[in-house]
Amino acid sequence: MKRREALQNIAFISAGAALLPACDFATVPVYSNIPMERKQWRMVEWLSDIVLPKGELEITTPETTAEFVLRMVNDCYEPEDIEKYVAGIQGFEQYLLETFDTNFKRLDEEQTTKLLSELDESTAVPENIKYLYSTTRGLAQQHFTSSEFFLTKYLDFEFVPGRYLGCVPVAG
Amino acid sequence: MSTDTSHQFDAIVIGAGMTGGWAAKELCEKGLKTLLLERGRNVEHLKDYPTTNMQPWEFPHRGQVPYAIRKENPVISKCYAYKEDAMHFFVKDTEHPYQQDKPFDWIRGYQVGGKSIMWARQVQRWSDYDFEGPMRDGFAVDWPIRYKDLADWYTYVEKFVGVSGNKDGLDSLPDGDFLKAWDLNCVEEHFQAKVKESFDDRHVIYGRTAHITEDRPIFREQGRGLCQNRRLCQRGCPYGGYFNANSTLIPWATKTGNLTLRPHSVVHSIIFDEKENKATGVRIVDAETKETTEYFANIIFVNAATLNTNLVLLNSTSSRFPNGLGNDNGLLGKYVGFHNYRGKINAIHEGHKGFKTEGIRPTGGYIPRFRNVYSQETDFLRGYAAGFSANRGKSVNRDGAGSTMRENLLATNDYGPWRVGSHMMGETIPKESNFVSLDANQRDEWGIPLLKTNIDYDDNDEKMLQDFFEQFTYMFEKAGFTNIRTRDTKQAPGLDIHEMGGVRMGKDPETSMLNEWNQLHACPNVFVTDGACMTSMSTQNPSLTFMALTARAANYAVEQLKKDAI
Repeated sequence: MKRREALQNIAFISAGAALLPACDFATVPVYSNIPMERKQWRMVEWLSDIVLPKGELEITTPETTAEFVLRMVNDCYEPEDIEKYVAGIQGFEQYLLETFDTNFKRLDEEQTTKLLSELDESTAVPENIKYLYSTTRGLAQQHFTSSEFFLTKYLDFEFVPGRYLGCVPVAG
Repeated sequence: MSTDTSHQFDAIVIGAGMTGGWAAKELCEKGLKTLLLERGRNVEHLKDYPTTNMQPWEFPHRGQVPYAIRKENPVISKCYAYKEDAMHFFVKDTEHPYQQDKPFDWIRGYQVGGKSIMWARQVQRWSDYDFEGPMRDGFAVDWPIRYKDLADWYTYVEKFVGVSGNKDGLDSLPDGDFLKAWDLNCVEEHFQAKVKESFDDRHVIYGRTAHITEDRPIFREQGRGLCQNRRLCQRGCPYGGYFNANSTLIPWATKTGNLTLRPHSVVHSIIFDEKENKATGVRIVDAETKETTEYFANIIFVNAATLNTNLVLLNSTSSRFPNGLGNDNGLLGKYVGFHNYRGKINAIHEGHKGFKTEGIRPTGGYIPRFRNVYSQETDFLRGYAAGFSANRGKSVNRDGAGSTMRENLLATNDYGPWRVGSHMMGETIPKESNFVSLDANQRDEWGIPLLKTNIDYDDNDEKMLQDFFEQFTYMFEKAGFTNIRTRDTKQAPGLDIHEMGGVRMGKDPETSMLNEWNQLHACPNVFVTDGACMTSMSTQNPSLTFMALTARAANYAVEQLKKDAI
């Protein structure tokens, strides 16, 4: 009996999940200056990742890229810039629909590449969308280049060098 | 108001920063029961350095100060060291307002240790070319002392704080008791050689800096260790590698058993007793409870930092001194000066491509004043010193988006060109029209009148700035640097954090406030030994001179007390 009940429950949960593929129980984090609906927040997460994909790299950071991007915009940017950023978030879904006839979850790799080059280079992209993109891009880059991984492996960073040498031959 | 006997001390020191710390150390060592008053909170070495071991990626905003804080505090936000890692050591504009009749960026550190926690640690001695400046060039008044009066005290201070430097043998910048220096890098040496080729009297040297680079028994006794080249000094150092009052002076004074440290003590005024014709104590307002208390002592050292020392004296009124303590001649608060830091110059050096630096160095190159040293040679008075540094970092390709950007970043390998830069530290001429005063109406929440600043640049400063640009452009060209760019930051006075004067030393009570031992002419048991005592400003970073003057005056005060002369 018990086993059957358990199986039934699993079947029920599976059915629910299948019926509601977008079901997302995570709580949308609150950024006092950046009002976002759940799908907009997911969209910023997605954008923060595709703009500088970590791929197979194992980079440990205290926060996700999107968390850093949103925290920086929310806390450090001027109100008029935050306004542009928020407008960018609000207009992005429509922009994708018009440009690719789909939403961000359904973009394939080729479309994603096209989107990035369009955002990077096209002058036809609406100003707020462009601002959303360039800000997210810049902050994702800052998150990456200020990581322990990048600082120590690529920028000679040492927390406690214990020395200063003024004239060292460059290797190679 | 409490006036019980436990409020009686041998000495009271107002301000627990760099010079107040020195006064307390000297007085306590000589056996005086000393009350050290500090308006801010206590900051204990090691214990109260919350960010000292944080990695750069651990700061939520990677060092940036959030917008709301910058917006509310525009003045302090201009300070180069006001970043996420050390902002807790700086006074916010909103916490302690003041009245800028002319723009003045007043950078303050209200805590035990004061600004010695976040200072830039440059310690260059003055020479007689500096002390003789006012007399030779006819401004301010003649200093009552010369280099010989201070030389041994410079050594005394250097031995205790630890100073890394080279013996350069320059008469314009006397050598001291130095610990070994780190390298000048190859491009700094290149510039040094090129400048030497063209000028006999211009020298690029290593900037003497208050860091421990050699083991000595005195540093062990202080519990301080070698500098580990992190260059995160503004957070407080876990090794005690650089000098601040918290690691060095306060614990030393505490060890004597003679120190009483009272944080959260806003000094209202110094109490003057008309019958005894001397200062007898200090009236404070507790910063937290707002309660007024009086403390009494035979001598009082005022070390509240330049402008606050002026404020304390201006607010110390009595029927004998209606215009502020010791202010018979009306000079109190006047002849304030600072350092002109407006000039910056940057360039690229295409040479030395086969070399780089390794590790970190908490100082840089220094070019002592070369203008008007031996005689007047320009259409402006005095001159400027300058910093000079060369750096080379990895070149990072930040272009692209998506995996292209990742590939670009991960291709980081080669070094970019050497970047060189210099900034001026110009002497300003103290003038009567550069002054501070008390606002007649507005008071802060402790009932102290707000300070008003009337301090500005003058024509001499503008000419000097242009000369810095011309001379350094020429020297940079001689060194083969390219892409030379000069920049006038147009910053207001104050941001140099080298404000000085207002209670100047001099020989004559008619024309100065303090005598040769930093005693108020008109109230000799009050000593002023912080930046407020400076008669002229010269070009050197002034802290070392403040400390030497303080140690000298404190020892003199003890001698005079023994003789019952004060």
